[in-house]
Amino acid sequence: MARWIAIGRASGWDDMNRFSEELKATPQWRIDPKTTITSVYALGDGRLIAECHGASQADFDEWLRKKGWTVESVTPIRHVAKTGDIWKA
Amino acid sequence: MTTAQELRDKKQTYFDDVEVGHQFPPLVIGPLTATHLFRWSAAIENWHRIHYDQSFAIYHEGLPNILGQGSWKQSILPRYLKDLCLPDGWPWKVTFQHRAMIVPGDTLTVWATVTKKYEEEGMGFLDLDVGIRHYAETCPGRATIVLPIRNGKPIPYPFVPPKKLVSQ
Repeated sequence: MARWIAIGRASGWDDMNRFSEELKATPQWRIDPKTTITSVYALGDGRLIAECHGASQADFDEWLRKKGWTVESVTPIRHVAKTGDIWKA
Repeated sequence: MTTAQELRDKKQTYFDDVEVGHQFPPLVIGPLTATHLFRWSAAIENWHRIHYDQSFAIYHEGLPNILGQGSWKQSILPRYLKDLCLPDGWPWKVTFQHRAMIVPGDTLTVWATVTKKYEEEGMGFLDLDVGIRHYAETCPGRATIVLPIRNGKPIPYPFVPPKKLVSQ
């Protein structure tokens, strides 16, 4: 399972209600049985970070496009630290 | 959410009351949370990390999130059928498939539709299409419940299916 981080911007996502509307329901972040948006961060400077795991980056790119993101970069992840647990991506 | 008191007060649905194509009122459960899943894991002592450790589920197993337990799903359909039959009917049998993962955030709709009705030994039998639906049809299957016929004989307890139906 490959993983990517996207950095970008999307209008209105700094608002918590809009952010919830875009992401809370399961179909919003479970793109298909093999592709999941695992985390999204709204940063203080207006940028967004989204993490995806899936079989194809194209599926992630499509989700970003549908969600109206202006994408700065999409980069593969090598490994992850989560509160002291280290995972190979 | 159905309360225990509502179940205690439930009025009997009779065989006479339903026809083929009848859709029973659905049971809606959710949105599910990690707490629901952990409670079930604790109740049945299922300590697999995919049910409570989100990082393990995502980063080790490649899953979308922690997963709802199959055994929990298996408990829902019999519970629903039992509630449909209360107080004097009997949920005789159910079979279904597991086709999709359930994760926190999902809201589940448990449903049943009558596909066939027939009488045997003075009891009313209903064959049903059943399932658990969220954004996908998770557990499609079939069931048979037994309802009393109005002014007919009571459904025996314990329920003994007619020999003619068992041998089919």
